[in-house]
Amino acid sequence: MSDAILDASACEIARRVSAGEISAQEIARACLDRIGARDGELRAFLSTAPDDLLASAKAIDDKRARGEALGALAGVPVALKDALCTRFAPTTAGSKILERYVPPYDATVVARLRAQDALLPGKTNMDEFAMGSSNENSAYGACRNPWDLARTPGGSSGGSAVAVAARMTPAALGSDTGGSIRQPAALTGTVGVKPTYGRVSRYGLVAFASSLDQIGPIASDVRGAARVLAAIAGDDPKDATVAAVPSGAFEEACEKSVRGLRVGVPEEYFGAGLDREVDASVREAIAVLEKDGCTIVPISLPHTRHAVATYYVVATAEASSNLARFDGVRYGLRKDGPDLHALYGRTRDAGFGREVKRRILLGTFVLSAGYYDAYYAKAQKVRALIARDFEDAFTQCDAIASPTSPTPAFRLGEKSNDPLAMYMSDVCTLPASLAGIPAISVPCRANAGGLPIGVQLAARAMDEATLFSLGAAIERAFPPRAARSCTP
Amino acid sequence: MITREVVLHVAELASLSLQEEEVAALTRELEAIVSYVAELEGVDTASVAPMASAARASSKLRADVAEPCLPREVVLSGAPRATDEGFVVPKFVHDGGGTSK
Repeated sequence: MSDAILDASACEIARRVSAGEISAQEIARACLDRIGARDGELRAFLSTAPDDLLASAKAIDDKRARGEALGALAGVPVALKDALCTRFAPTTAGSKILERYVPPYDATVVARLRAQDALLPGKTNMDEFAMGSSNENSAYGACRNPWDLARTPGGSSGGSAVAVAARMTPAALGSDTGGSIRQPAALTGTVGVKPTYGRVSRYGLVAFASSLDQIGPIASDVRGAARVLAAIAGDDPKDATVAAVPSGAFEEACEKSVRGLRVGVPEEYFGAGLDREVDASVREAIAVLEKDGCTIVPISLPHTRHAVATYYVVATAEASSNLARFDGVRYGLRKDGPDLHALYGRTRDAGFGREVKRRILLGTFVLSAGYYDAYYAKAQKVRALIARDFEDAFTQCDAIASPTSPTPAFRLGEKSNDPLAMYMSDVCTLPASLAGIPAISVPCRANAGGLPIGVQLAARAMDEATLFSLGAAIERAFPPRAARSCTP
Repeated sequence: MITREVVLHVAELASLSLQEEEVAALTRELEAIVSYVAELEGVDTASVAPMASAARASSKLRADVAEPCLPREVVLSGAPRATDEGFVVPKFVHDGGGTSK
């Protein structure tokens, strides 16, 4: 049978499965066919779980046959970033140190997707421990951008973005610490949402920087992202940072008029280093909002230029602590030595890639005696100033529009030997992460070469609904497109 | 200033046995990054409280009751070396009672 059903949106697939127009098993087989046909050159998936997929599809079809109502994601394939723990498939976090590791439990978000009858075909490629902006730090080989195979899809959730851009799945989960959902979404022409810090449980997410990490959806359209977020959001006794607020009416927000909303445009995001076509495309998207009745307000976020330095101190400090658990004793790789210290050292040397070592060393350095106040404590204070910038701005506006990435997808290898240049590609996404506020990336007009460009919208904490309203308005002007290499 | 000695000291703190050929490159790369982040020094943060987290939920305490946890054999199944009883590690307590480094 044809796999064309996978060109449909997540919500359309769920509607058809719930109505009995197509079975979950047909979709599962179509999904495996399409991954087989398209992923050889893309490498979005690190593993697939066909047996589990077909068994859960059959269970969904049986449920429907019994006359039971199906969940909101009935039969919708959702790819999972390989940092999310799954009992049914290995969870490597893109690292050799977790090669072949199969966790003994499922992440909360995985259980919630299953509870809504989603299909989970496999685990997606990522920068090792989510440390990277190009997927080139994956220990299993870089994923490629389906719009141009010589280019990166961005990172670290590059595999999840490519799975969606190439329509192997209509939706996926990623994790975002400094832009790892939004930047790959922008570079692949998909919709990516970093929810408010505290919106989604991280139980079962391989931790990178715990004061920043947040799980969120990547989808082929805004409404699909809204539906997936509604499915995974909400209180969880297993993650104390989750706020006990009800999941908002995200899908309803996609239909809501944006008339009267005030959209701030921060001058700091439109300065030097911004690609000319990205600048024009994002301004065109802002003009769409103005035409739809939004008021455009020039604003200033004066501490934006300190975000990269702040982030790379805070995130690496937390990472150096979180990654201490990979010690060769309880799970994963082990390299023996004459004593325990040698075992730790050799295991970590053999298991971690270069960027991970770099960040562990930097994080250990900024936390070490004599440097803590100058670097770590200082960065935490500048972080407070960055968060205050947003609080001040939100007295004048309801959302903030900017580019998601200063450039379209760059070439594989272009920045891989220059860590600082790579860090600069996160400049537009880091501030919202540091402030803990929600942000979405939505495709706007592509550049002359056809490469996708994303506009980023940020809102007040727990106001994802406004992002879905504005995102849907932009999407109406720039409808979703499947990646070029995947269209006949 | 990040020197070779600083890198080796920090690597020791982080339990990372670096390969000799990595040390020079990591020293250079860390020097570049640390010089860059040093720009934070110039930001006026007088009377600013450090922001440790963006968490909005006040840390909730759960009821102090024992709950079921994973069976021992399931937990040990992921270990690179284990017995039925627990994880296997090299001896790290000396006869004198102190821990080895």
